[in-house]
Amino acid sequence: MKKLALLKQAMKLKHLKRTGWTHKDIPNPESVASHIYGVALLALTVPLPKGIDRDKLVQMALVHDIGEAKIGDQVWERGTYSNHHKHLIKDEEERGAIFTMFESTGLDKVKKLSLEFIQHKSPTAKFLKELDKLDMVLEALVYEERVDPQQLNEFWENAERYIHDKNLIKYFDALRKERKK
Amino acid sequence: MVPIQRYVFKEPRLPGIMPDLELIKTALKLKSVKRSGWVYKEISNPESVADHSYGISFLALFAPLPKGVNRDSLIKMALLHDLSESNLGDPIYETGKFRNLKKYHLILNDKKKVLMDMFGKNYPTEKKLALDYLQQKTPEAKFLKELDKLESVLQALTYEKNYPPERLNEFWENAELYIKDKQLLKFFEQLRKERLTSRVNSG
Repeated sequence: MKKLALLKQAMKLKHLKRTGWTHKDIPNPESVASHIYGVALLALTVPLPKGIDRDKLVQMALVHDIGEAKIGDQVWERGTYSNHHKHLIKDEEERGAIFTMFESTGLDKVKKLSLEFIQHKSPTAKFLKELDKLDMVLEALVYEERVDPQQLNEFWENAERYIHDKNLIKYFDALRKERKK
Repeated sequence: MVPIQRYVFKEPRLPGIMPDLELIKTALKLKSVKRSGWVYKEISNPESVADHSYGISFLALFAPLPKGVNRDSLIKMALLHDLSESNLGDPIYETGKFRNLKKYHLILNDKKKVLMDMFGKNYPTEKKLALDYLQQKTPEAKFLKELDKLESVLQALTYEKNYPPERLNEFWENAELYIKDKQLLKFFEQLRKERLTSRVNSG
């Protein structure tokens, strides 16, 4: 059963720790699956810019990191620095992983959504990327109760580069204020 | 069976300046709530309720649907189905084929209160979906319950690679009580077969 194989791979994300946090030695960091839950919950609840369909956004959120079940959670940028070459290679590997995973499952619509996210061109994909970063700082704020906040500066710097939507900026600023307290 | 224990209903939070952000932050607490079923079985480092919510939402996106179930509502309900546990933890009212009815009603009531408090007047559609799941009356709510159980045996199968499978028998027995949809039964049967095969091979 090809479909069952895909399902099991998707569930592997529960056991994959988010690399950004493991690099910072956060004890017991969240899994990629937990992060996906965060992004999908944001997709369900935040105010949307014009032209974005919520149902599509939520579905894309649920599969936006699915390729990581095969290639792991690779980091290609930190703070305001990104390694372009590494990013390109990672994207290519991820695309391959998605094609392999979805092969003969009949789930073409879902496959398309995950590929659309990686291409990072459509308005939905771009907005989802902002939510991805918003979830990251929400999580950073939780960890900062356990570790020195300075240690996680780079996540805030990174998120700042991505979050442009005016409503999301309001959230981001509110979180930043909370952080300073 | 876990002893009966009334779950302490935490103080309702003061409404913040941004109620939507408050709701989001509360929901994301599910990332650090461990699933009690695995904790009681002493599974080391068990999944969080957020992990499980991801699993069931993915299933909602992926599963063939029976007539009358709307996929988008189902997915949204899946994302919200354990929301109250961010406040209550993950209370258990049934084990295997046994359900503690008294406890079930207490928990249900607590969960409703938490949801009413969390949502207030915001997000009426989402609030309704979350409450619908507790009531178990709509087609989406009933089907999601089946997905919830399918998700738990998928996870049990993963843990059984590292523990004696007998330890998790009750999860399979419990799922069997719930899974009725013919498509889901196919997946369930396949997983059960795999479970038996791996036991024969390792035993």
